[in-house]
Amino acid sequence: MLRHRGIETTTHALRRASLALAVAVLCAASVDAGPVSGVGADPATLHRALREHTLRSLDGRVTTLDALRGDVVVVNFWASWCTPCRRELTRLDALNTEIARRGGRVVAISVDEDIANARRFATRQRLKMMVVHDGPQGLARTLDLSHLPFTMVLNREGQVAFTTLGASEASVQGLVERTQQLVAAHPAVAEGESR
Amino acid sequence: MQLKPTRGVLVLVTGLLTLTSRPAVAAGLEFDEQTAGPMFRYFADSDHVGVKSYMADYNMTLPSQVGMSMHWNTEQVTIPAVHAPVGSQEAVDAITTASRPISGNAYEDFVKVRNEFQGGVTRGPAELDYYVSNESDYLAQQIAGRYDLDLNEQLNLSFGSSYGWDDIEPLADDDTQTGPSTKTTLHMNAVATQVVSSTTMVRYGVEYNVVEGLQHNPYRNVYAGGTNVPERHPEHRERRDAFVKLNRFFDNRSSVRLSYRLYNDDWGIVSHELSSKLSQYITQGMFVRYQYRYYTQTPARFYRDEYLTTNGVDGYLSGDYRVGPLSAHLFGLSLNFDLGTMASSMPVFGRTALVIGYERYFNSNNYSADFLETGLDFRF
Amino acid sequence: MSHGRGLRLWHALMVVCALLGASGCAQVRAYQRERLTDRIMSFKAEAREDARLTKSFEAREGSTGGNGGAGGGCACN
Repeated sequence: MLRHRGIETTTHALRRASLALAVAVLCAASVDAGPVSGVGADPATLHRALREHTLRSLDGRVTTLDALRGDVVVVNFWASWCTPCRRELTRLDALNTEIARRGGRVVAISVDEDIANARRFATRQRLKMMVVHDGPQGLARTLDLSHLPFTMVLNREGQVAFTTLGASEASVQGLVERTQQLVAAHPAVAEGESR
Repeated sequence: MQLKPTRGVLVLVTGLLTLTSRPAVAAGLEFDEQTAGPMFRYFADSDHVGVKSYMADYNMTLPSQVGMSMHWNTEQVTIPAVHAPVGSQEAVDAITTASRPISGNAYEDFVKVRNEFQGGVTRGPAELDYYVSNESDYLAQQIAGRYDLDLNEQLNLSFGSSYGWDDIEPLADDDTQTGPSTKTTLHMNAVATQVVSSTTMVRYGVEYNVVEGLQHNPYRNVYAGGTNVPERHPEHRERRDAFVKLNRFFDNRSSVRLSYRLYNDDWGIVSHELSSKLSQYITQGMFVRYQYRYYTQTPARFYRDEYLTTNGVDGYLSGDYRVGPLSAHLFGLSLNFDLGTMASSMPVFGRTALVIGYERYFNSNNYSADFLETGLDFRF
Repeated sequence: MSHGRGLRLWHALMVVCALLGASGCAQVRAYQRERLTDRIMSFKAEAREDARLTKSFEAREGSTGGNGGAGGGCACN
């Protein structure tokens, strides 16, 4: 009889625990149904940030994304503490080498709080592409990015051509293919020539 | 050795189906890196039992969101000889309540080696594990499955189940009256991990176990009704617990973790466990961790300090202090070194971490123990 | 510990869990999670140590659990 009562109490307790978990799930699930593109900011904020936000590279160069118009620019947001970001960066560095001569480039923007962490990783991996340190309160916050890593590709007019979220094999492969298509479809204009 | 077909196969088939199904791409899912590392641990207690553990871990990632992990452990357990004079009452009591075979010679150390292996495969949100542990009188095996669900970016739910089956063959002993036996354990859990803020995470869950089979020490006798009687515990046990853990990061680069667990079972044991960990970075790559744990439990309904009759309580008798009233404290201190960060100008360290730790445990049965461990972690 | 008191503690624990679940409605973006992935914060980083300690406690005490997974069996003294 004691065992029967104990089992009843257990069943009751487990039911309550399951109910509590269900409440937590419903609450969390109801919170965020944001855009799939990964940018939470409105289009006006996005375009203004792409024109005006100043980026400082690890080697001290200062630029904006607007200044890189004319190139196909792969803008990748990463962090040294983000494992899939680290793995993706080596692929992007190889992509940068492939497209550099055809008017393309990769800009890797670190959201690390401490620039030393970003610099240590970039040095260790011998990254040749442009690596920028912007911190978590910079462009990532302005654009209200939902994912990390997050990549957007700007066409030669400086407009967002497409975005990818995360770093699965499929998404990285898709990013590489579409970037190469963009670079090939609209070749860079050499100095002194016109289209 | 028999695998109960319904339960074991159910867990195994469920695990395989989740592994082979198309995995959900979860937002922010982290892939494990490749890591490898040895660890050595030494344990010594006030009963002069010593355990040396040599462990190694290896984790790797493969394409298509597949990960593999392996863990090995070899332990040498030394249970000391009875030190009391031969024929004395003290010696008789020690031999009667010994948790080791005494045939041959109770006045020699008893040494046994335990080998453990655990292998796991993950694919996306699903994981399947196999565990085996082998020693001279005990073979334990277990299969386990787990499935993770990421709900938006804030909440992760994990559902796990495992089935274990143990074969127990007590070594020949003058007093052993327990022949070969089995024990099975069915376990289920549901755990939620939630991001509360950019500096706070909480984890909470419930667990349920059903254990069937031999659950007492086959070498131990209990003094009851004027004579020595083999220990007897019930062969069925339902165990459940609920726990909550809170991690909080502070601006001075420290963190505090608070945990609470409530447990009860149908043997009548109710326990509370409260623990806290404070971690503090001292330099860029080095942090110190302090730990304190308090534990208290009520006795099993059949536990008595003395049994008046050989029938015990409802036919059960125990000489195991672990099912009696108990409270315990644990203090711990560890130093963790991220050698790659501390010596960034020396690439030979790569991404290597070193840990050195010490813990001191003591309980209300005048029992105490020291844990010492040191290990390395390599990340590729 | 009385049966009724044990039940009340269960209820309290479940209410706490539900409240914690409800309070997790503040958005924390991926780029804001650096501190959550730190070695001194990550549940995953401590999993091996937690599992090892839990096994030691199970060999010394009458209860089990608290890590969200069952440990394997042994003849641990």
